[in-house]
Amino acid sequence: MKNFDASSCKNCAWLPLDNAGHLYAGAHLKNWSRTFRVAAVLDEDVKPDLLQQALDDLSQRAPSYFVRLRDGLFWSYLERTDEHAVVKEEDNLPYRPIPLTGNMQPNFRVLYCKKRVALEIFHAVCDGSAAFHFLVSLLTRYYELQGVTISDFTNALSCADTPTAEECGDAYRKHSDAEVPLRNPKKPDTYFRPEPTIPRYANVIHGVMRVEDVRRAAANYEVTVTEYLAAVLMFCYLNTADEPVTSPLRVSIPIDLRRHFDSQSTRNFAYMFDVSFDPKGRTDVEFTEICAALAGQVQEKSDPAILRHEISANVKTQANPLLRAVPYPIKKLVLRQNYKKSQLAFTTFLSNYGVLTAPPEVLPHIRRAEFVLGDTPYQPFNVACVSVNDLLTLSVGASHPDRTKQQFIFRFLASEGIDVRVESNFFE
Amino acid sequence: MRCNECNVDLGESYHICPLCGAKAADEPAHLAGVEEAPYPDVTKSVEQLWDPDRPGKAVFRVTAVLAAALAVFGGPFTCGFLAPALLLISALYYFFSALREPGRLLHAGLSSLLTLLLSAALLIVVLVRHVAAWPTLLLCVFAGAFFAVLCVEYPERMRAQLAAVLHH
Ligand SMILES: [Zn+2]
Repeated sequence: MKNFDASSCKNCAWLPLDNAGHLYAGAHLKNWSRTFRVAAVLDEDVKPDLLQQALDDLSQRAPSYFVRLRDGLFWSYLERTDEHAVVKEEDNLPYRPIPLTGNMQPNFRVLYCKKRVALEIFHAVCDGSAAFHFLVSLLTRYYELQGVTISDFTNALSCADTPTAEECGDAYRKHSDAEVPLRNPKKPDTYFRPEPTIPRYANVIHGVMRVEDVRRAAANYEVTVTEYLAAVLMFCYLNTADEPVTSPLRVSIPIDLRRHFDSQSTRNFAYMFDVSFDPKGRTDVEFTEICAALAGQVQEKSDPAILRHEISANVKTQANPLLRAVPYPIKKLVLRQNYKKSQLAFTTFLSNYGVLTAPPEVLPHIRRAEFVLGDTPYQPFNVACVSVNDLLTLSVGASHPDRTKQQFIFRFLASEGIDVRVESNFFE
Repeated sequence: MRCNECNVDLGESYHICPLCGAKAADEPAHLAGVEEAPYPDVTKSVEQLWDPDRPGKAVFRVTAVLAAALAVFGGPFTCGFLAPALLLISALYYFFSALREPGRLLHAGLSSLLTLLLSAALLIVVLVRHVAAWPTLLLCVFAGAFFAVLCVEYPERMRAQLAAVLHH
């Protein structure tokens, strides 16, 4: 066992956290860690023994996931763990925080319930794209163990291969530019209303729709699907607010940097930007107005030059020698404050994974996919979506029982001519 | 099943719409070919709290603070004998708590290093106050020897663990 080594990450004992990982690691509270969930609904009931076997087989191929957070003197880090028995039957609410102390298990769990396989993972380990990649790789191995021959491993990890330094390394550092000047961002004016939360309460409502219906609805307003869903969220906030909204509505959207930089990272490599609309206190805002304001914002903010500048500034801040010399308990206080600040800078969060891809022999077995962002102590309401096999699932999570916003969102989508099927973890 | 208030399809087993609470209507779904994917009934499950921290670390921390206070403010006996004895007992408890699982061996190594540093600090206080130094010296030797044995026995793992903890 040795520390991180670019030539043999298969056997490394620990990994330094990446740029985003530091923020999530520092933000965790005594009973809360930033945990999100990705899931796939299969065409038959899950076989738990095979799923556990598949996970065991994958541990050597995907070492960067089999880690747990540990505190060091100057930074926390991810320590490899050989404890893999984390496949369990689901018996609790979704996206419960992953416990970071008290056991030797990796910072994720794999849950099954009838036909659903869910991966719930601590965000310091990886982002949504890497989590879906891991889930698809797990399912691929699961079907391999059932005798299915996989012809193309483009979209999944093969247990026959070895992990690469590219996969396990810090992609932010690799793609940053040392020459970028440091910035001092000002807190933007944002509409934000704290909502009551119930600890460890999670109400998820999934809306299943045809991808084609959503694309057509977005095309009617000449916006992308992400911009369209962000507009629906903003329209929802405008129509459910108790008073006129006088500050800009900001929806934070993560962008998968792998799609803009050449990276195979199996860890965090996403960047959060926001799209905004200022209603200026008006109560007669039309949906078309919001769409018109958002049109092109996602495209504009995903410019690779801008993205490189942003990630470089973040990496440079972290590389500051003075900051590096500060003991970790003190850094943690600062990181926690930074995380809180980053959460309060947005009205809400929306994550659109896009289309889930898998090997051709596995894809027909996946009936639909689900992506639930999970709550934070500051943002109890969250929205994410993913599509597979022509079905898009929009999942709305909330850590309180009020369903006013969920009702508005799905009724609005239905009024747009989209056929919506609603399912929830709380149902009668 | 459908909710006519919300104009959405519902799962086949739904009696009530999860959005508005209206009674579900037994009508064909608009979105054909989608099967229900139910969640478990969690009303029966026991609330699982956060896994507790192992007690070893907390006991060690509290005793270390207590030993430091006794060494600085206590009389010669407290400073020279009681403080190192307390630190030794808590360190032993921490080691054995850490050694209960094979994977925790490295953490035992780190705790011995921490004890070595703490007992060295204690030794300085003892020497400054001109009280009996040999119990503290004994503690230093014990922690140092334990750490040295682990380093000799598991050099690669100890090196990696130290690199992880000290990386900046
Ligand atoms: Zn309804």
